[in-house]
Amino acid sequence: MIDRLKFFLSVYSLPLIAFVIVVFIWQILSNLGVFQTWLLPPPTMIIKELYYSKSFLLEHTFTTATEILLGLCLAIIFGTIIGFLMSSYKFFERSILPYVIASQVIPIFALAPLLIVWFGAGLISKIIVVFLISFFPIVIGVFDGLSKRSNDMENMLKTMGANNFQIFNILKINLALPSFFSGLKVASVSSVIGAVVAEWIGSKSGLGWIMKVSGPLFQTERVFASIVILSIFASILFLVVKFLENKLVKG
Amino acid sequence: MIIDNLSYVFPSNKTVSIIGHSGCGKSTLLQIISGIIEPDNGTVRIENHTDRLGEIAYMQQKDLLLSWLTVNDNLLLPLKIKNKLNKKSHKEMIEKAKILGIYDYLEFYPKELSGGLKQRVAFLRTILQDSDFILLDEPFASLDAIKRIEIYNWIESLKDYINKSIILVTHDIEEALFLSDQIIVMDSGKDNFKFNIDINTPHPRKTDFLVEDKFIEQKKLLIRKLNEVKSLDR
Repeated sequence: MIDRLKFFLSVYSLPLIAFVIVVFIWQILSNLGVFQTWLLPPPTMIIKELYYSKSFLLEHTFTTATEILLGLCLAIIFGTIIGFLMSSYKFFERSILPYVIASQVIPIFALAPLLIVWFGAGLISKIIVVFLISFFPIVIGVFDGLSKRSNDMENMLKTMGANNFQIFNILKINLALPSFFSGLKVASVSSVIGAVVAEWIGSKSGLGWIMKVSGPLFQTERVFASIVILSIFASILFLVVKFLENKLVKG
Repeated sequence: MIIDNLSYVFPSNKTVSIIGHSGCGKSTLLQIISGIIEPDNGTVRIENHTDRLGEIAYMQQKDLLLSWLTVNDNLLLPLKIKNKLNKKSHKEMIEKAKILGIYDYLEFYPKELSGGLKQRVAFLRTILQDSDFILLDEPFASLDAIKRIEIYNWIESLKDYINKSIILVTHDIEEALFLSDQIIVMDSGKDNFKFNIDINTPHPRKTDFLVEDKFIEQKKLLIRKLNEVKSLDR
């Protein structure tokens, strides 16, 4: 227990100290009246906002989280399927890879308004934006991973009598997992951006919407509260992926 | 062409070593025998079997342990693939792992093992594959001299229950002499097998064998024969 605490401190103490110092200076400067509170609210005001508006913020966090998780799940499902097909069939890779790359080049800010026109300002258009932004790293991760070859190991499994399915199951999946998780980590973080951007462009709820409407009303503490929640949410999402990676990628 | 006009019947239940300069086609020959590559001409047959893949255990030069499996799972992999994993085969694995000094490392991952241990694990995995024919491609090349002698003793002690047909490719004349019943000197090009010699000392052999007159004599003979063959690449 004590060892784990020591380890935790050795890893996280420096960033924690840096955080505390920055917040502390920020608070002091605010108290001295260097910043006007409607321009840059002091940390205490953000914490108060988080506390007093918690049910309001929670409700909108739920909306954003739903968009992110559904979009990300779809991206994982379709990204894995497409990545698998691309690595298995050369003609499929040739015909689809340019479009997978192109889908990433189109600025999401240009696409989101169209999606909102087509699918409305509700959940579906947000899920599609999250999907589009997190699809690419996952496809590429799966594709790269499954394209990794180890001829020696493949031959060895053949001499053990393994069929193609067993070779895929024993060898290829495990060779592909690390790069799948690299893709998923990138996707998990960018999916949060996707959801916020989509909400910014057209919606009636969600943390992105809160930020958009609170700014012009000079409710900056509410904008900051949303940012804090989003950061925490993205960190948790990332840590969950990291946890799964540690569980599944061994040795 | 590296291998040309080669015709040979390997004796069953014996250990045959193939020695020769590097690049003379020893590893290629093993790959052909194992079924990984098909010869341009000719056939390879093993008694009572139509297929070679899956029937011949083949330990390649690299240890090729799967890094995401524990030593235990690496050892049982060939049995799992063939669906032959049961209590008896598991017990057999444990017994042999004890003899080879691997037992304490069964729950370790390959990256946590030393080079010598990895090779022993790869060796045991090959032995455990349920087949009567075993190909070993310089299995102990990365071990130091002391560890090697240790391993030779282990193999000799395992010999009773191994009792399989083994082809061992090696650079090391002493290793060949100590472990084999027959040694072949190989060269690249035409008529690859230049010379062979039978080693009649019964198993299990003791380390003393390494310094016996008979051993030294055969070693001299082999060195002379090896000097006679000149590989294409020199």
